[in-house]
Amino acid sequence: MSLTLLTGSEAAAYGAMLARIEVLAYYPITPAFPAMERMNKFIEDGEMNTRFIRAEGDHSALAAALGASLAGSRTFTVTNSQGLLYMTEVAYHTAGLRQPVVMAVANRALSAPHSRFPEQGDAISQDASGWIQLFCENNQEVLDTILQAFKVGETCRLPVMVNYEGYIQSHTQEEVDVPQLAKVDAFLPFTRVSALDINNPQGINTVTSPDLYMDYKYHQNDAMSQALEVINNVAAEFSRDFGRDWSGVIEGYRMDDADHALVTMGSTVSDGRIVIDALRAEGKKAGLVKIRSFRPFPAAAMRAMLKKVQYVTVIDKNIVFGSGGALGNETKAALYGHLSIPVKNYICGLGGRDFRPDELKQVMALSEERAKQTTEYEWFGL
Amino acid sequence: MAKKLPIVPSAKAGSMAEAPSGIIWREQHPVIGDKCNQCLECIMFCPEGALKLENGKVAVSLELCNGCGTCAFECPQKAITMVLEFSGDRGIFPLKEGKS
Ligand code: SF4
Ligand code: SF4
Repeated sequence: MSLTLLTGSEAAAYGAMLARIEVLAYYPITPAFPAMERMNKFIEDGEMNTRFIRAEGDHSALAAALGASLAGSRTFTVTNSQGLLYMTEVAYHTAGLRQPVVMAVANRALSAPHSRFPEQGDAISQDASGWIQLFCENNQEVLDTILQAFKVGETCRLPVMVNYEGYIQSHTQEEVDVPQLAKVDAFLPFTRVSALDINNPQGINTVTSPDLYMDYKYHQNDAMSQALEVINNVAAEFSRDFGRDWSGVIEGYRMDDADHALVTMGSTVSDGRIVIDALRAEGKKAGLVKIRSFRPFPAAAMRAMLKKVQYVTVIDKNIVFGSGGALGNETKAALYGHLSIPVKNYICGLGGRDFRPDELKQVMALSEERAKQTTEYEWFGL
Repeated sequence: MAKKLPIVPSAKAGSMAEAPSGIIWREQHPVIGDKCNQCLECIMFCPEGALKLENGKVAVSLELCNGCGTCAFECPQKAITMVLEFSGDRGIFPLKEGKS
């Protein structure tokens, strides 16, 4: 164990190094870039035995990662925003071909207009891509989640995105406990599984008839559903081995007797903890629901957590145009037909607009005031 | 019930290669088994003229066969097996630990 100051992107790089990735395919983009810089330094210093593929674009980077994974390598890439959009086509290939590529995403707002600032819209654009999507609240969780992501992905044969917000996390140093390599090796053994076999050549991703396509998709979705349990198990195992419990797919913070639940994901979760503590100090029964796994979405676990509350406030750092916040929509869908609690959904902090803990507190008060109103979603901070 | 499939969508390079691409979109092809007594029923029913008697045995032309399965359905001996145009265990892994 060693404590050190790391940015989110550096924490991702440490995670990849400790996971002993064999192939890194990458095209530089801000704010994920420092992760590549740090990994290249590790490679240069001989701390990482990794083949670095300098791609000419993000589409090629993920294509190279996919190829390497099909050949059996433990493979990693990093991107965000436009890069992630450019990767989209291959992202669907990677998921459909069931390759456990792990990708760190330093969430950044999407163009147009051009932005370089934090927001979760880039990850949300991939919500139907078939990637497991985990969101981290701090840099320690980034490192720990990269390690868990390989285990989850390789168990379920699914690719995993590990999300942390640009700048708020990617460029902010925090104290991070870097685990010992030997302990990581024990937690994360590697079994090489190669889909490409020269002794038994087969066509990969062949044209699939209507007779089979739907069945492939059924199995893919089934694996996604099973991933809920795998993510929980891997988090529990990690907590046993390293003493840090990130609680799997969902976490309830001070939810036991809560009557107002704040639901959110990513860096807003760490602000949320401060706000909940403040509200509790004022005698208010507030609690926090942290969504760690957005895909697969833990609908049943969320229902169980929200069973007794009167108010639900969902904070979304994304906008699905013409629909609302992605997490707000998931929350409503999870509760529909089971619990009739008003769900207030707020769109906040887009494109790097500051969204402070005191504002989070304001939103919660607003949400209680307007609980009876039937607004689908509201914008805060305009 | 969803069909059992390889985890990684894949297929053995094989009979589809013999089909003129774009003309035949085939999901399966017949394999004539030992029970065949050369009654020639299948040849009568095949809509594509893909079957013929060759050196005393029923032979399939994969250039012509469209995979409809009529031959297998009509064969009185149940001598024909329809084989899917994907194969192998490429990438079949259980979700739990260990290989299948
Ligand atoms: S119908 Fe069956 S038994 Fe008759 S020739 Fe064809 S395969 Fe052989
Ligand atoms: S599957 Fe259809 S087309 Fe092919 S040989 Fe049999 S009957 Fe003829």
